[in-house]
Amino acid sequence: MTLGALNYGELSVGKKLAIKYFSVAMVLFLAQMLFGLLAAWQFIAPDFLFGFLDFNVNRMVHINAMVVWLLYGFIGSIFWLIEDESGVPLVGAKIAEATFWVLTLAVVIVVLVYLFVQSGPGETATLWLINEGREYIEAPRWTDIGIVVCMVAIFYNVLATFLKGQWSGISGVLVLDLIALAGLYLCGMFYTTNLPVDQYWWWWVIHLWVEATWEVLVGCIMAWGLIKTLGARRKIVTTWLYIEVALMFGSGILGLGHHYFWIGTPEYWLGIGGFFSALEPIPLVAMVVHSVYDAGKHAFRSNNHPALAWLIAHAFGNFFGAGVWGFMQTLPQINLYTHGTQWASSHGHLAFFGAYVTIVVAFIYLALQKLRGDVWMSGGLVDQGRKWKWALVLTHVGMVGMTIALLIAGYEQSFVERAIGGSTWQAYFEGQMRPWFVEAMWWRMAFGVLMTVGVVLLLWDFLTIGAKEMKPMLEVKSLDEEAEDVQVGEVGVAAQS
Amino acid sequence: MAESYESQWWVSESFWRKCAIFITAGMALVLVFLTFHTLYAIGAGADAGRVPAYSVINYRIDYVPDEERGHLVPEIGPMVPLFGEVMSEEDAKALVNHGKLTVQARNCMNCHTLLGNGAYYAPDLTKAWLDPGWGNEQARELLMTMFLKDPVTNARTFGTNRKMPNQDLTDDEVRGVIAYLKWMSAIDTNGFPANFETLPQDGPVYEPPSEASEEGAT
Amino acid sequence: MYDPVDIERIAGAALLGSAILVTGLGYAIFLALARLRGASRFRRVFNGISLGSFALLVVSVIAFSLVMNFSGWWYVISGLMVCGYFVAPRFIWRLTETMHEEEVE
Repeated sequence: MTLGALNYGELSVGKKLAIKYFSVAMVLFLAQMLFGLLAAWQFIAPDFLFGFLDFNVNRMVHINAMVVWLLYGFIGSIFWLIEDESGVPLVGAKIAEATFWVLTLAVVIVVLVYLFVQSGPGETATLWLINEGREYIEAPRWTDIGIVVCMVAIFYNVLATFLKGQWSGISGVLVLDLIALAGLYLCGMFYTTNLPVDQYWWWWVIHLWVEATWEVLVGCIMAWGLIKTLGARRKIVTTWLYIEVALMFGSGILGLGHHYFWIGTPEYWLGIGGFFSALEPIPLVAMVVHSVYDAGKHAFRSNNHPALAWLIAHAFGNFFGAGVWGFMQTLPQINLYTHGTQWASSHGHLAFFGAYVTIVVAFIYLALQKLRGDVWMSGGLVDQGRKWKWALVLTHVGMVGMTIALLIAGYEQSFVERAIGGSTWQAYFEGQMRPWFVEAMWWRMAFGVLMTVGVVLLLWDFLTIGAKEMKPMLEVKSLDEEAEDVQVGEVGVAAQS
Repeated sequence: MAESYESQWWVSESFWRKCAIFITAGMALVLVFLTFHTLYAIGAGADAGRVPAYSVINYRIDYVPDEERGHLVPEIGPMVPLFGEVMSEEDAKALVNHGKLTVQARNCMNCHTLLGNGAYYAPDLTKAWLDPGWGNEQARELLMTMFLKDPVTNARTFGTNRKMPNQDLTDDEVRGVIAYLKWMSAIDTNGFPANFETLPQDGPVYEPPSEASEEGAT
Repeated sequence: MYDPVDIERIAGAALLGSAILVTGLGYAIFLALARLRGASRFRRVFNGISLGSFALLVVSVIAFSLVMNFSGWWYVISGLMVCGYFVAPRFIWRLTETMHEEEVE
């Protein structure tokens, strides 16, 4: 491995594959930003691209690109860590390689169909070939099946590799979580006339993904990230992961109830949803407490500053985005007014960013360090770390700005349209025309542009970080290794005496 | 010191592994149990009365306050069949189904919300059928049809210029969408959206031909 | 089953809801800081801030319960928040500390 060079050729099979997944993820991240900007601009200028690239198309590409790139980020991270974790080379490398290309081809086709075909006649064939028309899981049925097949293939790679090599607590949780993740996707793969039944299962996919299985998947990735960057002790990280699983699933699974207030489902969901929503912040607080402990004990001798910074952003982003922004509007007493307004969009933006974007970015920094030949990534980089720091600041300022703008818009909408106007069409438009709402849309646009600049900078940093570094990575001895040293030392002392 | 760590059972790895497994399994079990109950309760036309049978499109739908529950609840009124045509449950289901397929195929949910879920670029459709903007009961079907056939010319943007693009809906699709919206408006949503005022519905009600009523009586 | 907030109190309810979580976070963070080894100089300050945060949390929960027109079952949730958010960070701290005990010596 050469310091600072791109050592792609020398990476193991799994790590090469991970780099491919990360690359596609970043292209889709950029696409997400672009289509987000188009959709945001249409709020200000409704005639923009009207009848050509309408809001629903832009918005669909915006959210689908996000779901897919985050999944690509997760899959990439799994392939990156699997060989180190299992101690053997990836099993079924050819299948994994083929899966990547098939999946990526499918994504490209779906995006092209979204953009150029857009919609179809009101027939089942449209749902199979063009667009399923259900938010977040719009991908047509043929792709759903393709995705499941690819997921099974990836699952085979993961399972077979661990079976051949060694198991660990982290890999056990990861494997079980992948089963749940893929299984839940099946819940979104059917059609029914009955809208409440439709939305009941639809939330199984959306909620149980983002508020349960994704969180645990991220927990696995983060656990491994902590061992790598901070040299955290495996036994503790593993136990901690179990605690997180218990807290996350304990509160998150029935937290599903907060989506069942208004879709025709029975009244008991009001109480269940409220109760578990109040529990849902606990795992997030637990993470913060634990990271304060770790930070205090280890005094941050990290070998990868950008990754660590994004991991810290993750802890806080998750707490504020998912926790605070979720809880403030979640109980039915207030959700009656905030449900289905820009308030939800404010929460959605900050939560997805804080909980998931941050962790994938952090992981990519870890991967890049290795790709550049285990290069120095602590303080005092060649460019003084200007690019990664500015990217971090701009993306965060952009995101927080958008979140607050949308929160103001959401409040205006809740108040004018929902509370006073009784949610008629006229009330809806009155809310949309209020000066505060209109201004909020401008601010959202401005902060969206800022964030896009940040993302471009981030991608530039991804391409260049470590390129001109001459120093090797800071050695962070893991506490496990330190313990071994102590034992060896003790044995030595004992032998002498 | 390794023993002291393991001897504290409540911080041990194995204890928390068990916790993770049992809590997850327990919660999943409760969810499965509730799912069975909920799915039973929200069947179209189920006794729980939360989701109406599809043939509800044969009736006038309105909302009345429920003192005990503290919000408005749907009330199925006299027969006012959609497009003046009384439908069997099967035919009604087929029509509503065509409407739902159309709503999905045209990707309506990425501008509108349905039961509050979707995107926020256009109004919520939960009670679109009952929206006072249609004026009155008699004008509604015609206005809705005209709007859906040509939403650009018949735009109802209330000064925002945020128009709905023309979806090139066929006549059947338009009828389906309206039927779907009518059916949707009769779902008991625990009072969401709050304080919704329905349009005046005082048009003529359906009077069945005498033979049919005799048949119905037997 | 629920009694919605008065419409002029929507913003207040949301603010109080977030206040509960933010004060809960403050309580947890300063509790952890106060207990960190080497923080002895600031221990009393941190403990003070932590308890102060928790007092604010209790006030927020009470105000929240009033604004949200709680009754019956919903008070269980208020109680859950006061007790749960008090106990959870302490428990998590104990857990973390005990778990790490072997490195401390």
